[in-house]
Amino acid sequence: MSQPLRASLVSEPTKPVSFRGADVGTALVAFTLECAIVIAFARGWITEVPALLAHGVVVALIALRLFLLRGVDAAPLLLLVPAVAFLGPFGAFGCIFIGGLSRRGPSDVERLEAWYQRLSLSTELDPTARLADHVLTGRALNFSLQPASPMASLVDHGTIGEKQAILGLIARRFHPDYLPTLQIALVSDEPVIRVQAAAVAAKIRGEMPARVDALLREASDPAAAPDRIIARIDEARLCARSGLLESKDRERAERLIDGLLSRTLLRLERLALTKQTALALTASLSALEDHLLANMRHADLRRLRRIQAWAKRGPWRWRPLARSTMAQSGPARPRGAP
Amino acid sequence: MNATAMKAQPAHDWNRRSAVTADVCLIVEGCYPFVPGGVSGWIDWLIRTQPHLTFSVVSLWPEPNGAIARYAMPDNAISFHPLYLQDFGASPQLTGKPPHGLEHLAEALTSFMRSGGDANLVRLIAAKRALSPRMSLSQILNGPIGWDLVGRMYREVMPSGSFLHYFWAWRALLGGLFATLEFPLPKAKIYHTISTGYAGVFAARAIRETGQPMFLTEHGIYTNERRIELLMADWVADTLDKGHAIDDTRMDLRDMWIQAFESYARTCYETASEVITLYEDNQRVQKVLGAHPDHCRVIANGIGLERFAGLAQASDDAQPTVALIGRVVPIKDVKCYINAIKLLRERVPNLRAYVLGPLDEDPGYVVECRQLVADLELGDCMVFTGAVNITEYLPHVHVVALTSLSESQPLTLLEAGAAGIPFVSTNVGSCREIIEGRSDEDPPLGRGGFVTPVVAPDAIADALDRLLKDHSLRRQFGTTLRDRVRAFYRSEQAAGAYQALYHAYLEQR
Repeated sequence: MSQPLRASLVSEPTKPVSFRGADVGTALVAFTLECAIVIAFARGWITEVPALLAHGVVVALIALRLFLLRGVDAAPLLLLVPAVAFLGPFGAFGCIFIGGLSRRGPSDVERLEAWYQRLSLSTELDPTARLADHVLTGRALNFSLQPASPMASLVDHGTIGEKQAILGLIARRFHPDYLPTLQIALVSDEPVIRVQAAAVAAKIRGEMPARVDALLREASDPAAAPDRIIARIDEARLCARSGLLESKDRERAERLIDGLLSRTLLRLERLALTKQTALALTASLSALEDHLLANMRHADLRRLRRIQAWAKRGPWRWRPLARSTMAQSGPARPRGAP
Repeated sequence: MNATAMKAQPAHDWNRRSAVTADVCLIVEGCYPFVPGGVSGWIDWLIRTQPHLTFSVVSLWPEPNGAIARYAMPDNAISFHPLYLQDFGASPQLTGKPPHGLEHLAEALTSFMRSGGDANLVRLIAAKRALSPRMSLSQILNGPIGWDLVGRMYREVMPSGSFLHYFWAWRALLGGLFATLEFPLPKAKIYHTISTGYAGVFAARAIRETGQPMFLTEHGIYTNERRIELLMADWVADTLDKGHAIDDTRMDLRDMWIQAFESYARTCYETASEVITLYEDNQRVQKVLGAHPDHCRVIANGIGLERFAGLAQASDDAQPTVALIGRVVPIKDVKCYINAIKLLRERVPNLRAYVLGPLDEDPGYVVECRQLVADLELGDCMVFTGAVNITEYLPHVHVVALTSLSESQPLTLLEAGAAGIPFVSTNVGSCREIIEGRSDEDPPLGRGGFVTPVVAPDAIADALDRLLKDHSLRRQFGTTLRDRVRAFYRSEQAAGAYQALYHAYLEQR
């Protein structure tokens, strides 16, 4: 991503010496006068001294013009003065010829300038670079921002604008973890916030059956990773218990969640889980433990505990001490453990 | 004011036009005369309670939709002007090149959409007139001018976001804005808008072009309602990845929409001679949004007490009956009421619960509510009556409930109060003010019911249960509420306040 170049940092492009129309005109006049002097001298109309004086006047006139043009780029005239002084009409003609050739120069300069701007990723000249820059700005991380504050704290103590923005975020990207924040907003002292929180709750409630169905569908996918399945079941459980589902939908969702959880735990127990997957499961499994306890699903609870133990310790424990020794000195510790 | 006395009328009844200067030009957006109840009912009441004044009505709608008027045109309404905000077609107008001065219009538009205000409105009107005195809206929005404008404004306003999304949002926003700037102003001595938004911009323009005074009466705070709607809307694409950051200052579509409506509101608040609302909480928000404190005043709604004066009270030994009075629409959160009834039914087995209100506005929601009643096995105690004359039902009702998610000053609360029936309401709008009394009530009358959090069926069920079982408390609350309504919420008081206000300004003319 490039930053637009500031005007003060961009120098005007330096153009090479080139003849302008006026310079060519001056050379043409000098050529005509010099030719006239040469012809007059050759025909004998004037002698050497007047011819040399006339030549000197022509050179002086060019020099005077050069003097009047001080402050601007007069390099072509600077070339014309010695050329006419030493070569007379031939010098003037040469300058006219060179001037004609050099007038093709500027287009190359513009191309060079555009090329340079593109190379330097400047947004000054190139609309494509400018558009790309804008798109990149929009997509990039903004490191100047402050770290995010906790939602619940902002909804309690933030400005009205912040509270409204948070509620908007909850409405658009709902997750069951945001429910406590929504509860705070629903009883806010600020009428504007209460109204918005109520509207958010109503919106979420309308979308909740479809959301739970989608979560359960995802959790039923046999190809899904075990930790993902457990996470989806946990999320569906939180949604079902959020109070935002109608009773009929809630009962149906809970039935499906229980069935799915049983099957998943059975499957997990039989799977050779990697340590990484087992660790990923730990948090979700802990959350589900309460659910199984509350619903007295003891067989599933035992399975869950076995999986938790596996996730915690791995499939084997290394016992460096004999059982008889262990009985005297307490449980064995793996080597290297504190 | 009587929300239940509306009559369906064919649309052609509203074709009345008059070139005569009206006393008051009412500017309404998305309601009167095509939507029943709520603000529409209030507007109808306002016109009818000022029979000595003539009114013209400008009604703003997105586009012609063939809606049927739900109110008969009052005799003192001399003309009706529908203003369509998005009716500029889609056929390309490719003739002609963008005229000179477009950059001034783009700058004026950008400033106006960014911060609004009187000065920016004047600048915008001048820039538009200088550019295209005779150009139609379609020529501006569907041709090279529009393309040039959208390009200039996009680079200025939202260069990081998606141009495609910006284009369509720009078209919708600017289409509405240009429509309000183009529409011929009906002649009137006072312009009175019932919301900010486009109606507010139209009213602000009327001030600048005619020099006449302008009133704003807000029932709910329009800008805040739009803000809530936009913050939650799924139809507004997020074209910048802001993650969960709420303090990212980069402008995206959602920000642009909100900023535009806030600018429109600021323009209206700045120019209004009188900024009126129904209760104090709203007034606080109006001041935050730019209303001048000296121009703000509260005029509460009122009801005609005579309809409720002779109504009998439900006796203590009658079947316990509660009612929700209102349209069956999501904003009333009728499902919350049904869930509360489910909880209450377990404590009051012979309960009867009414839903008294029209069922035709959102048939899908009505089906969902009926399904919920069936799922909760409440079919034998719950009755959806449809639109009824509530005075026939109130004598049988012990407590009235309101579970709305948002209200301003619900008439049903005043009607129940006038009938001496205690009320249980969610904490929305001015419900707490009416039920518990204003902080400056002198002498304090006491409590007329219970206020509960929103979306809290258990709290509503608790409050209803208490009032159904404690007869003396119910009678005491009913009496208190009736006294308060009689003292502060009579129709004549509200009509008198508006009459005095209109006269004060008309006499200056």
